[in-house]
Amino acid sequence: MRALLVEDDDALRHGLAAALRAAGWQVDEAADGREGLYFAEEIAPDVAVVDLGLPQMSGMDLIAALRGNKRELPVLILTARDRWQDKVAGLKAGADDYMVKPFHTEELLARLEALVRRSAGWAQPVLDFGILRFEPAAQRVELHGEPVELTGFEYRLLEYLVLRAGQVVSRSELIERLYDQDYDRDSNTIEVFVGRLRRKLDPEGTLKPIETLRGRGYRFSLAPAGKD
Amino acid sequence: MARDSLRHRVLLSLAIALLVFFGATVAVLEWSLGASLSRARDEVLEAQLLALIAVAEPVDETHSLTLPEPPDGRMLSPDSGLHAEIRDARGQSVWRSPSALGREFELPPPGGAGARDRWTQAEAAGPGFALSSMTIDWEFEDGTVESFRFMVAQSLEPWHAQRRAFRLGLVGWFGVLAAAMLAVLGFVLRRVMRPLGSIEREIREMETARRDQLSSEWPEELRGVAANLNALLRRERARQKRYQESLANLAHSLKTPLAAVHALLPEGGDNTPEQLGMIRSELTRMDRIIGWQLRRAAAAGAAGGVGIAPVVVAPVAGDLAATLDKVYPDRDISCELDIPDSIRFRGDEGDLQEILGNLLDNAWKYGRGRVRCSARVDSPGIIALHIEDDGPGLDPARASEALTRGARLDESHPGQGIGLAVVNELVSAYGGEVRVERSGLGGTAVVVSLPGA
Repeated sequence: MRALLVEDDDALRHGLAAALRAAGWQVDEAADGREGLYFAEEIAPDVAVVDLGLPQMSGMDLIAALRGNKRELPVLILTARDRWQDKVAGLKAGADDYMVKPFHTEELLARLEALVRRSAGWAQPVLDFGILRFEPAAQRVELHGEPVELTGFEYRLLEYLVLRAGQVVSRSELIERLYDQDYDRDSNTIEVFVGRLRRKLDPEGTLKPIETLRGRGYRFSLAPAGKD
Repeated sequence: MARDSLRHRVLLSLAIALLVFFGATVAVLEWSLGASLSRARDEVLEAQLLALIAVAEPVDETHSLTLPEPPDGRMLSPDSGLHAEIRDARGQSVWRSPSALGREFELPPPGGAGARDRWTQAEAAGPGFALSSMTIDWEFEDGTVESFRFMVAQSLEPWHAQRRAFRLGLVGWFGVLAAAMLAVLGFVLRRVMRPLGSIEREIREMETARRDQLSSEWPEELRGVAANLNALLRRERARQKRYQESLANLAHSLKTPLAAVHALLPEGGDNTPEQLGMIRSELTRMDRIIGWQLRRAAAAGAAGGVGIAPVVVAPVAGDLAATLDKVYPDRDISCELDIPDSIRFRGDEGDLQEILGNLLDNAWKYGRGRVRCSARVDSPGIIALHIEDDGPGLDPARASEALTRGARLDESHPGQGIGLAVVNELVSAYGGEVRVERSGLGGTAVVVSLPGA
C-alpha cells in the first residue's frame, strides 16, 4: 500500500513516515500542499494523510482540488484544533476521517487500514472468507479460527490481494505498491513471497486461495462468506 | 411601541403643559367676562330704574304716586323676570308691577333722599335677582314733600345663561385648539423621530442576521452614532476573528510538536515498556490540558460577542450527523433529527457545533443503534436541545462527575472523555444549563438549554 503524507512539521512527518514504513507501508512525503497535490496526481496513492495547516496551499484547498479532479483517494486529515467546526468543515470538503494532534500512531495506522478497506468496497471491519478471516485494523489473519503468523511484508502482500479479491493484480503493480522505489524490479522475490503465503495459508494445498495467471499476475480467488 | 418611548414622553408632557396653560387662560377670560357682564347688567338695571322714575305720576289727592303705563312691557307679564315696585317712607308698597305678583323683595334699610342701593337676592327655587333702588323726595302741587323708594329687580337667569354659553364656547374651542396642536406636534415628532425608529429597526435586523451593519444614510445628528457603532462592530468582529486565529495558531504550535514526540518515541531501545507508557500518558495529559484551556478561552471569548447573528440549529445538527456517519462507518447508527427550522441559537456557530458535536459524538459512541436529536423553544428566548441514545445510560453520580471533569483535569484518568465537561463549560458561558436524564430510547438523554432567537 502507498500512503501519501502531507505535513509541514519535519519531525512529525519523519516520525509518522518511519512508523508507517515499519508497518509495511510505502510512504511518499510532501512538506506543503502543492507538493502534496503533485504526488497525489502523479503516483495515485491508496490513502493520503493531510495536515490542515499547510504552507503554499492549505489542507482544505488540497482536498478540494483532489475532489475537484474526481479522485476517489481516501483522505485522513490531521488537525491541531479539536473544534468540531474544523472537523465538520474538513469532512464536508471531502475528507473521510480526521485525527486530532497529538494522536497515537497505532490508532492512525488502524484508521488508515480502515480507510483503505472501505475504499476497496469492504464495509465491514472483518473480511470473512469462511475458513479465512482478515481483520485489517488489527493486521490479523485467522485460518480455521487460529491466528496465522505473517511477516510484515507477507501481510501487506496478502492484504493487497484480499482487498482486491476476484481481481487480477499484475506483478508490476504489486512491486510498485509494496516495494521501495529503488527496488530491483527484475528480482523474483514476489514469487518467493507468494509461495510462502500459499504454504502458510494452505498447508495441504486444498484451498488454493491465490491463483497465478500466467503473464497477467495473481488473483485472490476465495469468495466472501455469504456472497456465494 | 413601549409606553415610555421618547415620543410618548414628549406628547404626554406637552399635553399636561397645554392643559395647564389653556386651563389658566379659560379661568382668566371667564373671570374678566363675568365682571364686564355684571357691569352691563347693572347699567341696564340703572336705566330701567330711571325710566321707572320718569313715568311715575303724582296723585295729588292722596299724596301718592301711580304708574299708568310701565316703561317696559315685560313688567306687565308675570314671570317675565323684570319687576318694579314703589314704596313710601313707611315702607308700604305704593305701586307694584303686575309681573311682581306673589313675589316679596327684601330691601335694605332706606337712606335719605337720593340714596342708591344695589344688591342681589337669592330665591328658594330660581336663579335669584339683581336689584337696584333709589329714594326720591317728591314735591306735590300743594307743596307737600313725600319720600318714595323706587326699586327694579331683574332675574339673574339671562346673565347666568350668557356666562354658561360663553364658558361652553371658550372651553370647547380651546379644547379643539389643544387637540389640533397635539396632533400637529405628534406629526412633527413622528417626522423628527423617524430616523431613531429606523436605527432601532436596523439594529433589530442585525440581531436577527438580516443585516450585518447599519446603513449610512442618516441625519447629521445620528451619523456619528451610526458610524461609531459600525466601527465598534467591525472592531469587535475583527478582534473575535483574531482571537480565534491566534488560538488556532497556539493550538497548532503546541500540538504538532506533541504529535511529533508521540510518533518519534522509539519502541524498545533503552526504555522499558513501563517508561514508554508513562511518557505517553504524560504527553496525553499535557495535550488534554492544552485542549481544555484553549476550549475554555474560545468559549469565554465567543459568549460575550457583539452583533453575532443567530444560528439556525437544524443544518448544524445535520452536518454533524453526516460527519459522524462518515467518521463511524462501522457503527450502524440511525439518527433521527427533529429540529424545526425556526429554532435558532443566539451565539457563535462554532460554539453550537462544539456543544452538539460533543454530545452527538458521545451518543454515537455509546448508542446501540438509535440516536435522537430534537430541539424545542422552552420559553421565550430559551431553546432546549435534547440528545438521546439507546446505550447503557449514564448514572446520575457519574454524570455530575463527567460534567465537572474539566475542572479537575489533573486528577482524571487517561481515556476518560472531557466532552461533557466542555459542553458544560460552554453552555454555562452562555448562561444555559446541562441536565443528564434517562431517555425514552433507553439510554442517556442530555438536555441543554441555551439562549434562542
